[in-house]
Amino acid sequence: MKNTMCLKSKLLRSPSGLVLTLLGIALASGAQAQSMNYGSLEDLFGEAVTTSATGKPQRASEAPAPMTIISAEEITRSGARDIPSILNRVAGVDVLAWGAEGADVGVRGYNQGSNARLLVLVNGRQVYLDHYGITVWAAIPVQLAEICQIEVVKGPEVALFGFNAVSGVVNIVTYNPLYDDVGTAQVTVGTQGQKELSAVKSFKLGDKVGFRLSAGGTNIDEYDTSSDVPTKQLRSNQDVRRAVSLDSLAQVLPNVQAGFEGTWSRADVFEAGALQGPHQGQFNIHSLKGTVKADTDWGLIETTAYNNHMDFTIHTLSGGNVIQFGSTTNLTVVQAQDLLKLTPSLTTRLGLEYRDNAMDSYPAEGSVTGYRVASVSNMYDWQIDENLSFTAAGRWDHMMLYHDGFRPYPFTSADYNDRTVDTFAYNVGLVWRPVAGDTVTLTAARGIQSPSLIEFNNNAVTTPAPKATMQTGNPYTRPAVATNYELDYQHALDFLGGTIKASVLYQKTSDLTTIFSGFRYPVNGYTATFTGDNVGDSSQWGTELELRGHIDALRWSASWVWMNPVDHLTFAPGSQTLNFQESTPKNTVKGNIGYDFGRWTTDLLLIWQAEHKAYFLTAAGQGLHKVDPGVTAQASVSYKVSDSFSLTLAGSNLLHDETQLTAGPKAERRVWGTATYKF
Amino acid sequence: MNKSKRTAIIAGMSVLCVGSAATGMTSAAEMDAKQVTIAAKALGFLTTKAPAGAKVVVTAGAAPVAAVQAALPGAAVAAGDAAPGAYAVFVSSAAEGKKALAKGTVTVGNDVACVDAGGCVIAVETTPKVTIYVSKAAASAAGVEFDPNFKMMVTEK
Repeated sequence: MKNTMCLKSKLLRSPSGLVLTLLGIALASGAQAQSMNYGSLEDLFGEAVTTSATGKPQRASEAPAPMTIISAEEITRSGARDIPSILNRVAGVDVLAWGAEGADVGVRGYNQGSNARLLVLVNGRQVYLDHYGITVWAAIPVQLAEICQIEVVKGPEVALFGFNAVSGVVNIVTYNPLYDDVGTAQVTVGTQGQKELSAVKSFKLGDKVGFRLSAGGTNIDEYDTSSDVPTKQLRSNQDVRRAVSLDSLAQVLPNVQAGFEGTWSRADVFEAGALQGPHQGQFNIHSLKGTVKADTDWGLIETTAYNNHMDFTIHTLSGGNVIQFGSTTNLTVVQAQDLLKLTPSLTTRLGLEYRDNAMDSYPAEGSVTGYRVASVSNMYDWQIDENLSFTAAGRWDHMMLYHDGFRPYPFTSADYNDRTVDTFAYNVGLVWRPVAGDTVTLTAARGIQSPSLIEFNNNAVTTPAPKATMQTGNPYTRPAVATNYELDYQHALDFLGGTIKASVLYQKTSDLTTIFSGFRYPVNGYTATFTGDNVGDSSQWGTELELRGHIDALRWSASWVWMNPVDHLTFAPGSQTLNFQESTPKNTVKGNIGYDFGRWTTDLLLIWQAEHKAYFLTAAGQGLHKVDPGVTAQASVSYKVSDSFSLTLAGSNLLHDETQLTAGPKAERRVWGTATYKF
Repeated sequence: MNKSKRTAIIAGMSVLCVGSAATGMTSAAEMDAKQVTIAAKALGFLTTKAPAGAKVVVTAGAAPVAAVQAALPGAAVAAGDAAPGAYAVFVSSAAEGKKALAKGTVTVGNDVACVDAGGCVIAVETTPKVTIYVSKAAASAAGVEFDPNFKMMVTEK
């Protein structure tokens, strides 16, 4: 059997094949699907389904949160070979491509180098990295061919997911190892010396145990577009990505499933650091995850435990010199949740979570700074009637800092070990369908962005001289708090085979954090500058207008996004590398069109962004640089040689030899070809 | 079938079939192919084990037999009366549903009223969107369970 959609959906496209297979499953095994069966639910209800809005399975159109779901078919048709390029198709998402592989992804503005406002998950496991609270996209251990769908939730979604989901959530959902049959091998070669191999294969032991194994690697030369000395000094000539993943799921009892996942990845990429300067980062990450799900009389109970371990090294500039630093972070998370339908119209979700997040001192080892968080969350989803539903979710986090090892000068151990932070987050949503085809969604949310480990971390291993000045993380850095109020209206355009969606939002972030404030503070008789400080507020009004649809084999979408942040910062202009009101493009327009005929599939994405300014460190120093990418184009043409073999020619930044996508080095035009074999 | 369509059908039949209406024996329209397909897909979310070549019965006026056979090619589909014993029985009224409902027999209604009355385990509407109704009492009487995620997405009665 060739590759399937989520589950056996492709097989099930024909009613006869569909039901034969579904009935066959029921007849043969009687297995209960405690884990989400995305493909068959999508096939049944005729639209994408998700759990990313409330934790409860629901149709995307009924989710009480603004969200976009990117299907596996869209990923394939795009021709893209990296996740940021795929996300760039979504209205309200902007991508800062610093190099051939390194990128930061933002949702609704506030994007910059080392963006810490986005929570990124793979099947619910966080893959954003706690050292800076960032996502190294190239280090995500997922091959594109194993992605079932990517769910993009816009706005704070902390009550469900926890810290960092302040501007949004990207949840990457892969094919289920027990339900889905996947086998794909891909080879890509392209300009910039791009060479890529990728393979995904699922296999079964009987009908109760399933595995999915994936592996891939990419080498690509960095753009040769900058003569700036710091960038040339820091940047490796080649970005490297390697990843291996094993996912498994077993039906251990009729009502119990158990899963195990292990991953390893390595990425060596050029990016912009938290101080908006060039850096070359090397990341070695591995993870282990176990899950047990049980369908009980008390609801659908799920427990998950995972560990993410990362060794990283960063080459960056300090005082005009190239320096290298690196450390180790370790994250352990234990989660339990119960999803229970209290009445036919009322569903609740109770969640408990404990996490321990730590970072070793550097360059000298011997100390560990971290925090433990105990959380409880509760969600109620009330289907008031056929056309009206109300959702309310709240989450309380109790964070306890700690520092083990040497005294964390200029602080004392008590400054860390006695420091606790309590935060409350909520999501409230009302979904109303006044007439068929129309949906009005009103949401309010409060999200928490924890300071990253680097903002807390202390590396002192010796006693400093009296009155010495030192740089340190700050245990008293407060979490940033984002509130978001939004009204969405969606209307079906039957004559165009699509929908129009309009959104208006107001968002405010208080207590913005910055990695290095530069301010000098007296601490216990010493003078300290903090890698971790609160520097004011920022708020914005925004609108999104999006049309999408298809007429027969013609697919199309168009969006316009206007975001207008206004900063209220506590530092003098230019003294810090934060300036969201300048760095956020006010207007972004995206248009996508695709046409399928015979064995051919075509896709064209055009993006226009308004001119803006952003910080980037060059030989001339730190400063705001004009960014005017104008119109950029990505395109893809695929030819299906046979049912199991296809060829794709795709490209990005196609309109110019070099395009200023960010304040960093310009991006070169890229073209690549991919051969895909399904087995 | 949406609410207004249901109401219109019932109202129309009340006028045209006074005798029948007087005894409360109204029947909804026969399921169309799309409804049958959706109902058959919904059966795939049952956790009930059933023998290969499961027997499926379709009563008069419930659904086109050919459509049910096309949607359930692995089953042995035949027209017949409402009675227990089959894996699934497609019925045209709550009364038929109640007659057929038994341990091991799933009743599929051509009208949500059948689910409301507890005679049918499931009924589906396909316009303006796919909506699946499940009777908890009927499911219990049939001794069947649905996938827990599926249950979160349907309207339980």
